Amino acid sequence: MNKNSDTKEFILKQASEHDVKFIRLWFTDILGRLKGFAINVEDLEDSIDKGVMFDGGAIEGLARATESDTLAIPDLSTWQILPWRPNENSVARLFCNLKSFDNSDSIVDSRKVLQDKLVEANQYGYKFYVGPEIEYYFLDNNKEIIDGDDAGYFDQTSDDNTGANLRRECVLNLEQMGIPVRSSHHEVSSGQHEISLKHTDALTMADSIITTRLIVKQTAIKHGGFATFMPRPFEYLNGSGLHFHLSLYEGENNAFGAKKNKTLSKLGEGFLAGLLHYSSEMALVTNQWLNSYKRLIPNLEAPIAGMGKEIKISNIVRVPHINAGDVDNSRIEFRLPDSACNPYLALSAILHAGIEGIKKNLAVPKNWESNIPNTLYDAIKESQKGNFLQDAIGIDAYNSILINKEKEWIEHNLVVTDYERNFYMKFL
Amino acid sequence: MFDRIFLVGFNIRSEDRLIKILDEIFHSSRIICIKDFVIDTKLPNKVAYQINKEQNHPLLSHEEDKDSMINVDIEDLSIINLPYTYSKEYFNLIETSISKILSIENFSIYESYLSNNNNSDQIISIPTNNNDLAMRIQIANKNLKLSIKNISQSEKIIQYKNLKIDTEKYLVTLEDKKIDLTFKELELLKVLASNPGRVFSRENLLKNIWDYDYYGGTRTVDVHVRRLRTKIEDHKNNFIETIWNVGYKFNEIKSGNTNE
Repeated sequence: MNKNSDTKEFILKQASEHDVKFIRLWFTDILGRLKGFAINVEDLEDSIDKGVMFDGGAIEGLARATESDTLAIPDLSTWQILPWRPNENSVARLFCNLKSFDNSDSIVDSRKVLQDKLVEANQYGYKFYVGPEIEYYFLDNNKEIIDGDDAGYFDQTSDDNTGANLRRECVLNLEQMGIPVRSSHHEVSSGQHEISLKHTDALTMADSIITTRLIVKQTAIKHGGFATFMPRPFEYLNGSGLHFHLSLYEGENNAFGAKKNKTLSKLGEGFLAGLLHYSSEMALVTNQWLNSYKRLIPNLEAPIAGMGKEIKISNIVRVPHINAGDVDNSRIEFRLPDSACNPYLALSAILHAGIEGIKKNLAVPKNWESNIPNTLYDAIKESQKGNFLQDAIGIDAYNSILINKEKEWIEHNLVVTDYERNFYMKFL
Repeated sequence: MFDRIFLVGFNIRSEDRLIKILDEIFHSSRIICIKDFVIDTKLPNKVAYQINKEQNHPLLSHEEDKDSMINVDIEDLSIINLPYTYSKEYFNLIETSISKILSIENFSIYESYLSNNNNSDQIISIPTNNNDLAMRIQIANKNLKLSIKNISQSEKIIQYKNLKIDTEKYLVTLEDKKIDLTFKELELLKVLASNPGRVFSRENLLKNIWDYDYYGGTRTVDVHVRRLRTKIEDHKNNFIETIWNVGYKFNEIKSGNTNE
């Protein structure tokens, strides 16, 4: 039996049973921003069979303007009715893969980049599982910290101001979307929250992170507020990290699980060494914004940039303690990425770094000199030193992100900031 | 076709002969001679075998040494030689629901079982010939395929307590409230709920529902069961049970029984 035609039949029947009127076709641009358009339920079957053509010329990093006829091909396994819409005339979503209309390969589809990377890892017998901790800020509608939110880490104060109600509504919506939440709590800084998701395979997780961002932002707007995943929104408060808990599975076994008295298998150590070794070169996708580098400074509970400075390894990677014998829970926590990364590209780069570490038998250094770039400009330069990032995300995606980031750096140089006026005019 | 064929309880001469025949018919299957076995009497298809290590036959597969017990999977076939004198262990083994072909030396001992049991077990006599064995194995394979197919086609409406699964309309309701499931979640629920009490391994569920999953492997099953649970279970509804180190089963709850 053709499984795809079964799935199609299921979707069409479910659409009619649940009074679905519109279907949103979702994809992301090269920076991981959710894009999409809606189709009518009447066009659903046709869209599933043939894909839907749209003009992708204006989407960041998708294609050169001359090659803008883009085909969105729904991934049927991602069919999901959106819970925050009414039950009549409800709305569903489908994530899509992108192709150029004439089948040439010039379209950069970051979801496809991760899919290819996972198939590659599968050839070595590895399945990549990820559980993220996503930090963000709930703000008022002026994009300022909500008055009265002076709660801190794990504080259980539950008046409306602390955003606890917002957070709970987000969690309920996520669970209804089939995205199980491990925990959620107030973070260190005023207005800052964290939602951590239960681990899934990396592709499902990247989709889930994109969905989570949307749910958090929409919930905040619905209550007259605003939510941001910006890496460092306020200079007097912590930045928002996206810590990834990573594991590899070989068959049903957690390949990071160690025999007694050790926290990590040899393979796990290779993976961890790979993460450390390639941090500098992957930073362009794990920390892709100018603002990302304002999170990577001391005393913010984030990894510290500063090439050549000796820092504790636990600053960037952590091997969480597990109960004896609970090898199934073995994992590595990678703390470099921020909440505004493109999860498809970031996870591709992370997996690639880990597998390179295993293949090249890299050892975990005793003392580690930080190789995390200080600025976006450093990150661009670091990524050009070797072939790591090109191999990790493919040459097309790499070129596209490089052009975009060089542009961001140049454009920021065109702006004179308040900081400069306040600081320089006193004596210049 | 079967992944592995286990030869259980044969003497070395019969083993050698069977291995030769099997190798001529099925080049791809791995053949493993079994010294001893353990049966979990609580679970109908949970059997583990111990390999004959001292035997170093060139056609034997090389199972990993680290764990000398191998769990029998749904894709495995066992050819079992029942001993001449009655043995409780062997009787328990033929009672399990693993795919098997029986070689029986003394019919009178197992007569009552054989006459009462109309399941798909088949009997060969040793020495056997190529054609007979090939035919038996093909029948066993067909039976396996049929039983898998039956799993999801048996009933149109499955109901347990307040959970109703309409497999034709792809509609699941809990306390008359529509639950939206993904296709895979629904398939999973269908397979489990059509066979309450039966334990499914992750491997088995993956093969039946996904064919193959490049991105997640057998862990995909766990992820989907977890999602399914968040959608259909709460403090008073517990439909799916995790069987540690084995897989999942649907709890046997009689419809209409709402006493908590």
